[in-house]
Amino acid sequence: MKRIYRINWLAATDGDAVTAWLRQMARRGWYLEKTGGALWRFLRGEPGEAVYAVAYFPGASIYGGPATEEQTDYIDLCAAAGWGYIGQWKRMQIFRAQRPDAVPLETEPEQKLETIQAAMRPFQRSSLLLALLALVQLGLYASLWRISPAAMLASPGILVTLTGLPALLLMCLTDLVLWRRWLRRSRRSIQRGGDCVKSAFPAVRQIYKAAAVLLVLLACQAGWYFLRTTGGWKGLAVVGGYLLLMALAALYTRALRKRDYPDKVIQQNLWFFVGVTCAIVLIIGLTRPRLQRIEPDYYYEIGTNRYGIYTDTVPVTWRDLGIEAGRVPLSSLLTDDSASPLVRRVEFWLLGYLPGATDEVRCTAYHVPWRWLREQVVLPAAEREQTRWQTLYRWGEDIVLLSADRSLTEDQLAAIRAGLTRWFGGGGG
Amino acid sequence: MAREKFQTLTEQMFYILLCLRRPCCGADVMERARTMTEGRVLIGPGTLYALLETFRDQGWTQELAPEGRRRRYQLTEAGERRLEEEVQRLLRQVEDYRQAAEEEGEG
Repeated sequence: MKRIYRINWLAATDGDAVTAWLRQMARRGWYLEKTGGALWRFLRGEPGEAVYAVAYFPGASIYGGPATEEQTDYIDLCAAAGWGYIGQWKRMQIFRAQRPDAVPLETEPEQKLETIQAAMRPFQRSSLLLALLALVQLGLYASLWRISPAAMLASPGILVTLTGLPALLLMCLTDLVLWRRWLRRSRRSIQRGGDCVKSAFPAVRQIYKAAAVLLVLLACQAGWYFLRTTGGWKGLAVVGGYLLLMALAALYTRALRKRDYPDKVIQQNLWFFVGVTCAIVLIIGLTRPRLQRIEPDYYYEIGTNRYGIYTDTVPVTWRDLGIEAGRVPLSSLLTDDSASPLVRRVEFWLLGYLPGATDEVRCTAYHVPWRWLREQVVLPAAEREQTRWQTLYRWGEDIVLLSADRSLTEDQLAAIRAGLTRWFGGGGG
Repeated sequence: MAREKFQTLTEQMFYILLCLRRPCCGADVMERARTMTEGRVLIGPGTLYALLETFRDQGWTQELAPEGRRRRYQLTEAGERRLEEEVQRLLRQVEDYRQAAEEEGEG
């Protein structure tokens, strides 16, 4: 028998749109055989008029999978009323009429509304939570935009998130707004003695499609970002690991559902899974040699200054790096067309005071991927003004840049150079 | 104005309780209600399931030992009382109607 898969672009709250879609597919000779997350399977048959109905069942698991005990009773009851069960999707139970006189699934509007509300509550809560998180994150970006729009636009990491967040927000808000509106209208209709209103949300399909395009764009952007920046293949491995973890969590959930564990137990297990994963990541992070370098291996003094130095730090001059004096690449978030540097702070840091300084000199350390230094990087005017002194070190595949927020005197620079030469046998820029 | 829940019973609630004076399963309730009312009152399986759960929570019905896979229910004493109250309320309504009709006829 021929089968096809179709993407379900509808909202879980839009039962009427689901039945309308299934009816339309049946007219073309495709009958729903199996529901899924996004892909639904249809079986080829004679084109005809099929009657579908959906009902919401609060006792169904939010994780899908096999029917719970309560659900089985419910399905049996529906079978007695003339409805053949096909499958479920987010607590939406989908049936097809087995006989022409099948009794409607819901015959009391007030009860129907209560049941739908109870069934959809967890999904609405998660939509609300996701929307709030996305809004908070976008709010943070808005504040960053006020400080430095250029820096924001030049950061691939932020751009990646900025593509994903609106897509997520769009989907969540669409879901919430349409649901609230439907609830309000249905309540009003029931109070007037009517039934729940039709739940056709025609805009949803387009909005979901737009969000899906944004998410695909996000995936491409993220791939590009990881390949171009310091993470490279390592970054992709991290993403791969993340996806693997998600797949493992999904498989684990499915396994628990097959053994008929209740949602509460599954949620506890998932939280445990998340906790263990975070703990593993934390342990790996804390034990990675690179991260341990936050505490320097040695300190050395130049006059009254105290510097933190790592044993594998190799000093190089700008000349060694093949960079013209007028185009010194500094740690920068603003780039020209050919470069998008990634800059991470606090990989290296400087302590203490410089000779002759009357107050503390704020020195900043950046971790700059080596490859960016071979491309032209333009420092933003504001940062150029602030940065009066800098020196570069080669550190494995990366460059460490030290910069100070004020001009240093010749004496101070000489002291630094002397100290660095003494320690590394090379020169700082 | 929204009807306060269970202050009065809807037709479907009434017939479910009525059917459950004898032990029976959900499918029997749907069938009995249909037969009893000659098809006038149809109880959907979704509505029935939800109401059976609610009635059980209210203490109006109790679950009996299942018959195979079928869950069976029966009215409790509290359920009987509630049904009786509803019948009395309906009879009063009918009585009020008759009285009003007689008064109009006399006038």
